[in-house]
Amino acid sequence: MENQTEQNTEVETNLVIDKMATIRIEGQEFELEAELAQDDKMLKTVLQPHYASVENANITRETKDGKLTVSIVKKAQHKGSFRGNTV
Amino acid sequence: MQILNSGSFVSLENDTKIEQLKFTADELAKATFESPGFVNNELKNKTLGLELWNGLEYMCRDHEEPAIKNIFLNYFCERLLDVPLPITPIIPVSEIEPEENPEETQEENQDEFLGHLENAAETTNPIEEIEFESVVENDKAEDQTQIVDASCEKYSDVELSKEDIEIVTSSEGLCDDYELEQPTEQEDTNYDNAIKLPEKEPYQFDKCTVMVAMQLLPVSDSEEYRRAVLSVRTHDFPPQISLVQIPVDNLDSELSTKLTQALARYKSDLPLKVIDKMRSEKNGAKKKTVPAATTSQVAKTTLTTTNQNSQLGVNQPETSQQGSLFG
Repeated sequence: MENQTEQNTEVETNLVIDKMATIRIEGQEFELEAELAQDDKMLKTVLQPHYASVENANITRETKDGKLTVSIVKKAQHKGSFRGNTV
Repeated sequence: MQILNSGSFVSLENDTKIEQLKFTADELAKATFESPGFVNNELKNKTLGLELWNGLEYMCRDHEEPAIKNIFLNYFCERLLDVPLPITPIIPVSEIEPEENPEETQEENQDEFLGHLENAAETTNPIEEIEFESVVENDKAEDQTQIVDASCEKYSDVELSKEDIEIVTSSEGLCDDYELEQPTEQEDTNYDNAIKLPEKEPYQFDKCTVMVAMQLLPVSDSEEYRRAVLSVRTHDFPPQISLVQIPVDNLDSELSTKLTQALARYKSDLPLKVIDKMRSEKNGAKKKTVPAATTSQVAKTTLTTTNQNSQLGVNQPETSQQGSLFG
């Protein structure tokens, strides 16, 4: 019985109640519909026009008090990945 | 203001260099105009400007060079065009005398910048030949126009008068230059119409670049509404993203109304975003400008107190900052 109650509370905490999610990317924070923020592919599609780095970024989600917070951290690129004109 | 030395580095960021460049163009234009035998003609002015630009050998970044070159040419040509055309008195043919010093005319022949080649051709010819040429020129003019038109079909927009043709075809060198320089002139005219954005755009909706992205999400056959994501952004502000539902039947008109609504909302929210940004910048600046002297004084006082306490054998309680440093 005790285990069941613990599981229920975990599920409750993970439920996204708030319609809006908070997105954290490149030192900025803004609100976005939670529907768009729950799937990685959807999120990347939505943010791609404004943040090109989102394509190869680590996406982590956290739900607290029914509010979804998505942190997007771009991956460090390898050295020498610049494709500009070589001297 | 100083004249910009040849071979000096010019960049668009350096305003003083640009001003010097403009001043140099002005001075060169004045000098050109004052030189004897100068013929004020738009086409020739451009070719002359290009020649001067090449001769000056200014160093520029590759992507900035066309713009800087354009500035120079514009100022040079504008200055020359501003100068009123001199009224040359009409001298009757009978009064024209052959020049006494043939050496001087030879020197003038070599100066292609000052347009003496045309005059030199006239002076070297005997008086009788001038009259004969005037008859022959009329016949040749049509052939010359055909030649020029054939070689410069791309530039059919440029209206060529007979005087222009004479100037261009009066010497072989200039004619070659004309054919070579025309593509660059074409490029320059393209840059005249180019849309230029300022380096720092104002935080006003109408005076800054606004990025709008519309994404129509896929819809199944049974659904009557299609979802779309509208996102608006200016400067480095976070985007304003909204999810809207649009009836499939009336997609175009509804989409435009939703878009205008989104833009209106962003326009009204923009001042708030600017204020927030200003505040955060101010706060950041305040944090940075905490005087180093005060911190060093604090450090000194803490050191002395700890020394005193250690001497007295008193253990100081851990502060919250220290605790957070070591978890």
